[in-house]
Amino acid sequence: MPSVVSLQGVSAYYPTSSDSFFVQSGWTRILEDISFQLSAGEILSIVGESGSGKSTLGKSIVGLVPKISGTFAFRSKTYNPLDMDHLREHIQIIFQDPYSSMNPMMTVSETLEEVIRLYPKTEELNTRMSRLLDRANIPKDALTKYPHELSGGQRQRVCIARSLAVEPEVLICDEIVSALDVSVQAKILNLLKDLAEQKSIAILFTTHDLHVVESFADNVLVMTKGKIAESGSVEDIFQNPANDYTKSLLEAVPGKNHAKESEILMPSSSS
Amino acid sequence: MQTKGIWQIAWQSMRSNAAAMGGLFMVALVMLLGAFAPVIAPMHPATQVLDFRNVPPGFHGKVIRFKYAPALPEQIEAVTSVKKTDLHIEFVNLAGKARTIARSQYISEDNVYYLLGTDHFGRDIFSRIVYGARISLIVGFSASTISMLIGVILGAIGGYRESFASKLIMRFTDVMFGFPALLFLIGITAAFDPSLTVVFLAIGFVSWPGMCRLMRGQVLKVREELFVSAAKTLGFQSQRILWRHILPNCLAPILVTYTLGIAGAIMAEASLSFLGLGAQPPTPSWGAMINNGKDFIRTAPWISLSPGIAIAITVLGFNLLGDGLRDALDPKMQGK
Repeated sequence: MPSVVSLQGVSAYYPTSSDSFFVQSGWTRILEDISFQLSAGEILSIVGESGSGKSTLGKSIVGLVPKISGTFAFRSKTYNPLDMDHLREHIQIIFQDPYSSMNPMMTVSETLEEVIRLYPKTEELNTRMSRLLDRANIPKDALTKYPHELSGGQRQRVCIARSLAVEPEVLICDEIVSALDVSVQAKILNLLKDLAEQKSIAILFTTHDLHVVESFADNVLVMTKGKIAESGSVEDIFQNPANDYTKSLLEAVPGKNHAKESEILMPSSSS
Repeated sequence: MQTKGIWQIAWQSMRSNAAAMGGLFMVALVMLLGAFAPVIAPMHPATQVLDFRNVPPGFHGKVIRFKYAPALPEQIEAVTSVKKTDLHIEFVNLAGKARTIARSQYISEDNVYYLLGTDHFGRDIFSRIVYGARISLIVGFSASTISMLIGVILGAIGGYRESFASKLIMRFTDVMFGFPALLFLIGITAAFDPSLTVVFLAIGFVSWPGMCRLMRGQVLKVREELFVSAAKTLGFQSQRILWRHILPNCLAPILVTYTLGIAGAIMAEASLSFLGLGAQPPTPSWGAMINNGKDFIRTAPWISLSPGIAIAITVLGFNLLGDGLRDALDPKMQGK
């Protein structure tokens, strides 16, 4: 399957401020030599601990990182993420924190309407609005509410609906369920899975929760210290991790760790 | 469930703040005085009853109004008694002298009550204060609005993006801050023919730098918020992001400063009018009224005191209201 988005040798940098007036501020490299491809309908999960650069990777694709090097391509055409206004209707991002990613002064309907109007289609506004609400499972009475009146899960649904209003081909989900209750997580993940299957949306999904990856993603990309440690299908990586870091990450999963601990505590019974 | 915007939440929290509601009451009172001045004021603010100069608060008197000829101005004279016949009106003035006018010259005979006394032209101070409220409010709102418009636009441009223009704006703001405000104001108003328009334009043009810095700080803060990044990745143009997403979220402190700015502008107008650089006689400006009374401060202190108290109440009202708004619009109060 041809890739929708591909990255080749991508590095990303954030500015470092200097304490001294006389020493010039420099750039710290957050991502180093990242290459991967994302196909239509694929759910690619990026895992790694805090500070591994997985969020930066997602943000770099939509140009939210101040300095980037390497090659970005959308449908085999290269683009510059820092100047990608023509690609906004194809690539969308949803952020981890649903609390601060909505304008607090706008109601849900204003938030959605604004985006729908920005991307005019032949269909009427109301039709598109009600389809979005259906798809993201947002109750109609939420339309007149302000962000602070919604629960975390509802807000994240609105953020998803807002991105879907653009009708993108690629959806970058930056830890979008990390701030939510487990019960709400599952519903949001199902929604994303439907989107990938029915609408062939390519989903890049960053998370630190390996349970989520196992049940949800097609492929996985393990990151550590800004580099790709290992990548492959979910079964391969979970069954036969080749990289030491991947192994330690898998062992740190609470369920598996528990078994190991009992072995250490009761050596006589296990031998 | 009824939905509540941030302004509704702020209003609820302000309603339980006694000082803020007191401020709102004072402001509303002054506004009503100004709005219904012709109804409330017993006399025209420029009407002089020369027989009743410097009379103390609470003074009762009787006047007769007449015209020598239809084209001539109305005369008002204080009287002790009036006698009407079919053809003539006969009245006795305060000096005890009786005079007679034709029935056609007569307009009316009124009992006057000077709630706050009169000034040395025999003008009713209460009426002048009521009409003066209009001037103070017009100057306060206009000047603060001008200052807000300049400050918000320049501050928004100065804060949204690092550019040559934004640096130029902020350095210009620094230069404006370098001038002592009152001296600068006196300089501007002295350079033009004194009038109310000059006064509020001058106050507006002198007081915007504070608003500009505040706005820039707000924009610098809000532009880093996630919903601004979201708007950017959704594909909105930077102009729309600035005016539709960043600006409305900067408004709370701007509103507070605007309210406090009204108080400041009223004070500035009073200062300028006191110095004779503001509204010109017989316009009933509170500052000019204080000036009128300064020569009689020992014998007729009410002439200066009454407009002084009016200024104090109005300024206090706007300050209390502004402080109340600041508390009510505190980001910590907004439920997450």
